[in-house]
Amino acid sequence: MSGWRPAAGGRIDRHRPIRFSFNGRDHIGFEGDTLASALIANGVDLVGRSFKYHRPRGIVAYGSDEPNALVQVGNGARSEPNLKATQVRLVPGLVARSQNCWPSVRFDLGAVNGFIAPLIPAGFYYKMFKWPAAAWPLYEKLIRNAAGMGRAPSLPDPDRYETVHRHVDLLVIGGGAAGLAAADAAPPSARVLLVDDQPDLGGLGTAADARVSGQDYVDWIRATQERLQARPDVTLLPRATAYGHYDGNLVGIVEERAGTMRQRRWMVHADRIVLATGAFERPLLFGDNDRPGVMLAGAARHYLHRHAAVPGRRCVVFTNNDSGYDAAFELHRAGVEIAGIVDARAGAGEDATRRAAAAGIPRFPAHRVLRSHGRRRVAGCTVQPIDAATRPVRLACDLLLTAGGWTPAAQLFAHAGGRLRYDEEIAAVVPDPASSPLVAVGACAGAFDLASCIAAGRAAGAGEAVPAPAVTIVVEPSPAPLPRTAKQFVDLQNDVTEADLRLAVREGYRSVEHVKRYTTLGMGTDQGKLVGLNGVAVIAAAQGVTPAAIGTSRPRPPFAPVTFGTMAGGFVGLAAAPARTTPMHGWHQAHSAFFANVGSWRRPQFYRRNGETDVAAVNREALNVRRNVGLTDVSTLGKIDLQGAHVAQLLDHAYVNGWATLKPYRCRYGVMLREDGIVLDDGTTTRLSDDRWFMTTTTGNAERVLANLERIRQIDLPDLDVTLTPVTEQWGAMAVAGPRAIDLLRALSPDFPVDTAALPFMGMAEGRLAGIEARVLRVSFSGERAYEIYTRSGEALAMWQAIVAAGGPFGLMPYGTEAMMTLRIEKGLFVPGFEADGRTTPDDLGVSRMLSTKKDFIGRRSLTRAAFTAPDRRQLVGLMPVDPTQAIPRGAQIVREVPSAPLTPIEGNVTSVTFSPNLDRWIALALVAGGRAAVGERRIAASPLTNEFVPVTICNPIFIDPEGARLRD
Amino acid sequence: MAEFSYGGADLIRPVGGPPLDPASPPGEAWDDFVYRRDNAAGAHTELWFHAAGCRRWFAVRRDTRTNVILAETEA
Repeated sequence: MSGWRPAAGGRIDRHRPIRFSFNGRDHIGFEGDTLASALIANGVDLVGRSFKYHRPRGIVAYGSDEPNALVQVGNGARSEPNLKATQVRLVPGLVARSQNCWPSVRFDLGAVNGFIAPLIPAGFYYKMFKWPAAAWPLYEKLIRNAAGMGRAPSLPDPDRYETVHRHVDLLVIGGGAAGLAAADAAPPSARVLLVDDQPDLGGLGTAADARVSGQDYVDWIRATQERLQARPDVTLLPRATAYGHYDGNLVGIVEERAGTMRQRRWMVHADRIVLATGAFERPLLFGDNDRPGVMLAGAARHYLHRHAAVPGRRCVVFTNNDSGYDAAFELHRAGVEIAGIVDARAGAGEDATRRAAAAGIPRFPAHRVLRSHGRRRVAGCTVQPIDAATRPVRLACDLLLTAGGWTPAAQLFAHAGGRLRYDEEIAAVVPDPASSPLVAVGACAGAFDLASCIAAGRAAGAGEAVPAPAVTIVVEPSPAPLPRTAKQFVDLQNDVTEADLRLAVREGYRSVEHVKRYTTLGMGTDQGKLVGLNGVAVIAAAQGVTPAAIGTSRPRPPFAPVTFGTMAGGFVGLAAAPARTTPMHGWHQAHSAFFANVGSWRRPQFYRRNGETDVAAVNREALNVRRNVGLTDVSTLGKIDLQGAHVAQLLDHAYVNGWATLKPYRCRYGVMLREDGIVLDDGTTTRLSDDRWFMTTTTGNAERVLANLERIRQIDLPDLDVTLTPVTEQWGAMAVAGPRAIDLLRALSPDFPVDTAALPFMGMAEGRLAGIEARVLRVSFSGERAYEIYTRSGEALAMWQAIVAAGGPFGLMPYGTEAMMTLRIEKGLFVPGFEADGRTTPDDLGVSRMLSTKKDFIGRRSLTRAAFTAPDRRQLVGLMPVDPTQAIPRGAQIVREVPSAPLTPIEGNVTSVTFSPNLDRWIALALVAGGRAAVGERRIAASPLTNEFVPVTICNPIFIDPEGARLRD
Repeated sequence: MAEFSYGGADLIRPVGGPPLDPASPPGEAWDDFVYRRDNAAGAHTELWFHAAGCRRWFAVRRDTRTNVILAETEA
């Protein structure tokens, strides 16, 4: 246990101590601490176990790049897994636990994986556990239980989330030196939004005592922030992470909040975006570089300065650039003994060399760290010259800092098409300014000198050209990988070692995208922020090419994990999927209706009575329609009002049949095609007068048909005098169907004529029914004599209730969509989505006699395609089981014999199935090759998944009343 | 339901020509219209429908590589 807290310093409030619990043990931290800084200050080294090998792990980084310290925070409904301790704000009563270890992080049974490590390199699950094949489900279960991170909460989330939308002139992502300068330089009237993921502005790249324009940086921050806060159109947003950049300069941002609104998502549409996201430090590779106590040099500096948490007492710094020296000097000043600075370069900057000498810090130029030593914590390391294989030196230390150079945090730049290019001098990728509207400034553009960061920020904020940065940091590439040594981890979170990458290359994976996915390099919750270029260097070395030739894998949103709660925002519970209900919805609910969703509509499937089963309810309803009379709610049908002198021409173009001869007060059934000749929809259109028409469509196609008609009206036939208005919601509709329907309606309203002379089949009448204005269409979906009654939706419930009240003497029962389906299947009527499945032509469905030969219509030209006239086309037929007691399986395939050979030709499929209470047997509609010529022949309805093979006879799809006598009178 | 829905490439529907003969196949021009597309990496003109709004069909010229909208016109 080597972390400690000095008596003074840090930006914590020592007057406000905070008690928290980690792995069941209580500790004290302070306001201003993160969980990570408080753990370090309390001397807790061991924070977790690695994903695959269950190796002990400690804190490595400072922010969202932390790979190891994944914790589960909280209990019950608010429990949250996979949080990085570096990003958890310390609050009173915080309870946190390590993940992926059992029974404890100190003694974890999973560590046995370390002993079988040679059997489980990256990608092992592609190569092992293949025998016996039948055991794979067991293997998979064991492997999944052995791996994994935290536990998702199993209770509903009690917190609120919301999404706000903003339009701004300038969005600045990153509130460090460059970002603050950019916001400050925005034109006076500009709407500006600046986001930063830290609680305070100023960023992580500049020391508090750096000098800017004659003042300390910390004072410069304060002055700039005051100026920004004084501007009414500037919003400063700390504790917020920009997670994705999307087309049209849309940026998604998640803001952490306290209280019952847990997170707020900002969707920002920006005219200009300045990216000032800084850079991530890279670690250096050596054997056992994952031991607790190995940390990034920059992170150690932040813990010291911001939190007064020092991660060790005797430190070795391994670096390949001057910034490692800054860490050594600052820790030295704070009281840490520096055992040595191991510099991969032969010579350091003059200033650094001089200061090291003055402080008495031993330097090891042109040396590397071979490996770390220790059990659960670093106790020392072995150091050796890079070129000569002379005797290695052992240094004792409890803290090993690495400083491998800086990688611009340019992920957002690449999200929406921006390209990154390799810069040899800093050995990292930088944004290519020509490839994206985003303007990258500061460290994320590869500039590390404070003056040029601020100058670039000012230029970008003002909308001017950004000056090229001066090169101030030269990074020596990492030393070539060591052969045959202890594991060198490239990706700490997913346990991917340098040996895994070389193995992948040996196995033939070349592209960085392939190696990434095969080894899972950089695919953890840290999204490989520490990983990218180290991995690229290893892959390049293994292939004998330069890192520039390999490139980096493409970053994609989100930059950091985003919770589902944030994405859902307010669209949860009832607001998750708006439900469309009909005017009779309350009545259905009150009468034990069982509902299903048809698109976004809630429709009653059946009405359950007196403890009957679902099937019994459906059969009762379907039987009753053919024997007495049934009432069903068809308000969901699409409805369109058409007006104008040329409506008939529009309909002629949309439907396959002709409309000019339709007289007022008459309805006609129509079928619509797509341009490729496939059936799109069917419906009934009624002529109300010379220039007014009323169309219905199927529920599911209402919007599609309207779009189609508008397309015809606006593009295909723009000179027609036609107006279209969707009126689906303006009209309620219900069907009264059955042999006694006419008696019911006569009893309901003796003055409304419903006999065939006044209202023939396919006719329309208007008037008052039950005292309510109604339009009545004599059309039928059930095959019984039926009346579709349309009223204003505000009066539909009253009409429904009046019919119900009058229905008793006639045996009226309401029926739902299931009985509706049974009835239409009995009548062989096709339905889009079942028989009209996107592959069927009018002839397939048996309606080719409707095709007009006198006019063009959508899809007509496609119908002469050779494939559509082939004799073996699948045609709509009926099926009956040979054994009347057998059911026909849903979705069954039609074959000639029970399949015995591996490949059995399929001749068709069952499209709709029902038990027919009116025929007392199962029936089905199917599409069968050459079906119409095969009526009377036998086939097998095969469902191998349910092991059913039912012999069936092909028959006429109209099972009941094929002549339609019941319809017409 | 989204505010706008996509309506495919903006092409002119072939009309006219010889009288529609039920026995003759559709022909190259019709097959091009129904099935064949250029799939250019670059500017592409397509139709959109303002479904949850004014119900207007309009044409958009979009760069398929960057999704930048270059122009909007009447259909």
